[in-house]
Amino acid sequence: MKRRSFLTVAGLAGAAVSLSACSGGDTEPGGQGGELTADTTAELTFFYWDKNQTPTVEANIAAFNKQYPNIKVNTSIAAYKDYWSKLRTQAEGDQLPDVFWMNGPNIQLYAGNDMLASIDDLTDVPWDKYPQALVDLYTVDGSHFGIPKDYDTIACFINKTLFEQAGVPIPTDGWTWAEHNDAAKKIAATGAHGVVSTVGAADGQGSYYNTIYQAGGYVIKDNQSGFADPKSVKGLQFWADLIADGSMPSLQVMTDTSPTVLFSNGQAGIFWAGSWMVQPLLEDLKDPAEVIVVPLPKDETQATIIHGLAYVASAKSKNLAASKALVQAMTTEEAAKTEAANGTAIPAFTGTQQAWVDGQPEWNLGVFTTGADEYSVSYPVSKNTAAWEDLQLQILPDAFAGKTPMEEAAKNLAEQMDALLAKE
Amino acid sequence: MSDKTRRVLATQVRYLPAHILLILGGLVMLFPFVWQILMSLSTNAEIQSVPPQLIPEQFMWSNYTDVFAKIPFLSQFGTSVLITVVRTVGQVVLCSLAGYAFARMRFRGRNLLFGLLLAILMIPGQAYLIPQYQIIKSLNLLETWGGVVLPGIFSAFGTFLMRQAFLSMPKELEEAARLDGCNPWQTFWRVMLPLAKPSLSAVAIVTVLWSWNDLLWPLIITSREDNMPLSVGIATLAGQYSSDWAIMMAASVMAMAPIFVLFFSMQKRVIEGLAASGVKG
Amino acid sequence: MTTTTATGRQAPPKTRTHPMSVGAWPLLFVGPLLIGVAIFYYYPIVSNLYTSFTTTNAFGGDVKFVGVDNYVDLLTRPDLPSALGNTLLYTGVVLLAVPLSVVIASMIELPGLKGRTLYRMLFFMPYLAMPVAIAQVWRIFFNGNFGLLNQMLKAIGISDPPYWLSTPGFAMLAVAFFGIWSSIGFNVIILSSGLKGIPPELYEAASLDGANAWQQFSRVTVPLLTPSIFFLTIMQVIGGFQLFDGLYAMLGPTNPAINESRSLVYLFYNEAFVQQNKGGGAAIAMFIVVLVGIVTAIQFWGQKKWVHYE
Repeated sequence: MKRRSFLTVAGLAGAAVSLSACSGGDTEPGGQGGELTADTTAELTFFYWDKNQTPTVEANIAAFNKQYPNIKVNTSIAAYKDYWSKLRTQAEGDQLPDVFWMNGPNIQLYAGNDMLASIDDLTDVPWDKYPQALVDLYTVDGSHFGIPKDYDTIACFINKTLFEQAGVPIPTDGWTWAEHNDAAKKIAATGAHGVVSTVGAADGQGSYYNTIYQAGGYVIKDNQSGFADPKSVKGLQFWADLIADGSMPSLQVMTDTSPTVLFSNGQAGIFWAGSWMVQPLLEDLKDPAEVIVVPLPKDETQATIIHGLAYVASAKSKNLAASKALVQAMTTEEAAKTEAANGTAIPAFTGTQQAWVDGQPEWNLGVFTTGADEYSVSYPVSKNTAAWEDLQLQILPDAFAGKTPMEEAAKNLAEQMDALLAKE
Repeated sequence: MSDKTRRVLATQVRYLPAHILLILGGLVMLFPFVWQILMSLSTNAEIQSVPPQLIPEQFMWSNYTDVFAKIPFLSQFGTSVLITVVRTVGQVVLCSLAGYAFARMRFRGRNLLFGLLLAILMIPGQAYLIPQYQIIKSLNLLETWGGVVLPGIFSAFGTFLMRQAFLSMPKELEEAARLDGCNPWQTFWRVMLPLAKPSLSAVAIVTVLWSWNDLLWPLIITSREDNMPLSVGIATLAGQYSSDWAIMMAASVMAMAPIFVLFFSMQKRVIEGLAASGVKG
Repeated sequence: MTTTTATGRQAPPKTRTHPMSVGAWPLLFVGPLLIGVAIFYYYPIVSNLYTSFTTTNAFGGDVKFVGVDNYVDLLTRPDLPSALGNTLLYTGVVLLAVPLSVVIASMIELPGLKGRTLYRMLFFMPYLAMPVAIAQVWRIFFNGNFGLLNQMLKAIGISDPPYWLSTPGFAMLAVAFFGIWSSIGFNVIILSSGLKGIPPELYEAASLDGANAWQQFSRVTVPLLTPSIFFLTIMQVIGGFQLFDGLYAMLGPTNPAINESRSLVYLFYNEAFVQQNKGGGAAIAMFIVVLVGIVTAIQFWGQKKWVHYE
């Protein structure tokens, strides 16, 4: 098998402009699955989607190459939305890159269809050094398939100027839904938008997933939908109430102008958003000094959704041992420190986050990491997450807008979601 | 004022309604283009401002130089040129041959074949993606410009367009060529093809633009920054949660500038001046 | 070279069987294209047809034959009528681009018109700009909060103009406008080259007969352009049925209004790539082919009544 792929590659060299991205071409017998040594020669492909993180990726590959100087890593990149189209095509064509980025909604889809290599045999992965929620996210049927790279949690970005104008004190840790709603209402009374979020785009992660867990409800448990649970309905109703009393602009306003743009233009007092918005906001805000980050308000309990990416290896990699070694090398403490220093994402490795928090000291970014450590809830997924996320987009917006009663919508959603889950 | 000038002026006055409509319509067509150039000279914050700030406070020419730091612009530009030239030449040749046969030759199953050809336009493009990828893979053409070019040179659209062009040409010319002893190839090459130049150039222009902007297929086939065309390279600039619009706009202005120049310098030859010269050919 | 018998005996009167209709010539002309088409298009279509009778896992493995189940599922989908209706509505509206382009192209190619080069460039521009840039600009134009369109509407006294991009119905109109706008440049190029093929003598003759501008347009220009118009109509209809990119570009995938603006291809995409039901998606794709095929066949059949070939 290996020989044949090498021959076809060699035979094609004349016709093709370039072909080193094929993952074959290893000439050392040691490259195949066996023991890796410093002399192992191999070529790996690595695929990711965020150009802003290229410096981090390159630095970490360089570190990997200090250990394995003869393993060449060819990187390729595509924008996020193109990334998944390409990855799926490659998966069906048996051409997955050796190592690539994975996210929560897709992990079970790829792992459950035998596309990913189990990494249980990696002996010295310090699993207790990563947030448990993330380790669990990338564990499918009891096997580890990915090592966490970074994480994100949700918090409230506050526009201090609008709070002052409305005569509302800046919220503190432990503030409640009632205090949140009261602040939003008072800010809205001054003519600005009280609160904005991605709720209209049916983006649960940035909005109602958090409130569902804060209210004591759940999204999915034991492969059953939790949307119809009365506490979940309460978490959903939170948003409908904000829109109904004018504290939050209508879905139409937030569809035509994204919440990010509304907030960065100083038109909204509170913005529910993930830690990934820190960098873009820093660049687009007219006056970053008027912003501070506070934890999400609490109801029955305090909660924030945690999600993160992981490095995974293709099950069909021709250099599985080398691929797994790369997965491991990209997620070490050293690699995490590089990530933190570059400021593009919060590294997942415990104890390395401080550099990221210190990147913008006035904003109190520790909120995101404290949330992750103390009260985070794992991003809810199943084998085919996208299918029921699409249902949310079909059903929930009308209920948020007050056109259908929330209880009815949630019940409908839960029934349809259960039907999809049963098919998985 | 000479007679000629006066006559031209009189004509333009008579055409005034047409001028007014064309200018108004033209502005509607032009407006996104101008906006794109303005965006390419703005800061990202200006592009994202509410309400939108049309004219930047300060022209950010650095957006253009920044492009070179973000993507290997020149090598991707070269790849784009290569892919576009091969696709265009391939399409023009294959489509004019087939279009001529569908228009002028009579053979069994012609209409059925033509119908089946059009059918390939009727299926959602996404449905082709994975099978075509597997074919290119089995031809060992992944990561090559050949793989990017291949499916696209076989075009039902171009063939249809050329068929219509040949259908509307006088039959007498062919008859005369035949009497002169031309075989079908000679009739096609010496008589009919020169007459079809306007449509040929239409196929060429459309293919150039389509190939230049084509994103999904080259994105699937090429993976590395040094072998992808510019359309794919620019697309990699988009972020997951936010994009540097200004840089993307600058990159795309630079990408389309040569096409603009090409069309501008060619358009006279391309569309005009053929009605007369065609007969001589 | 040609020893076989002539195959085409349906030659119109006065034209004898042409030698070029015999033997290997047609094959030589059509063959190169058909080989490529067979490999890169027919094979995928046939494999798609096969998939439509199966269920598979998300990555095409684990194939099980299920007969016509996927088609039964498709025809009983509650959202099929609205997707069909949206697609037909969109296709109907964007067809307006054809007559509009005929008028524009005829004006640009008026004999003796000054500034023709400039006009051609202007109408060609949309084709040059980057698609994502264009969509961004039109989204700002249609923006319900501060868009230029609503500012103009307010200026003429409409106090509560709609949110074009996020209200079902209006959203479809905005998408259709975008569709018309993006096809005009292409149509004008095709029609311009068609117009250039009309011999000026015909206009001179018409003008000697006392025909005014409108009569020249309707009796000379339009009839002689009918092959191009027919071509554009066919392409516009086929393209209209493929509505998907426009929805994504103008509305975005997470716009609540997209629920009521879903097109047939949107259903296909959603079924195959979101719901991971490849068999169901394949059935929708085949349904679209058959539907557009019928519509196109009707157009071809109807062309005898209005398309003038030489």
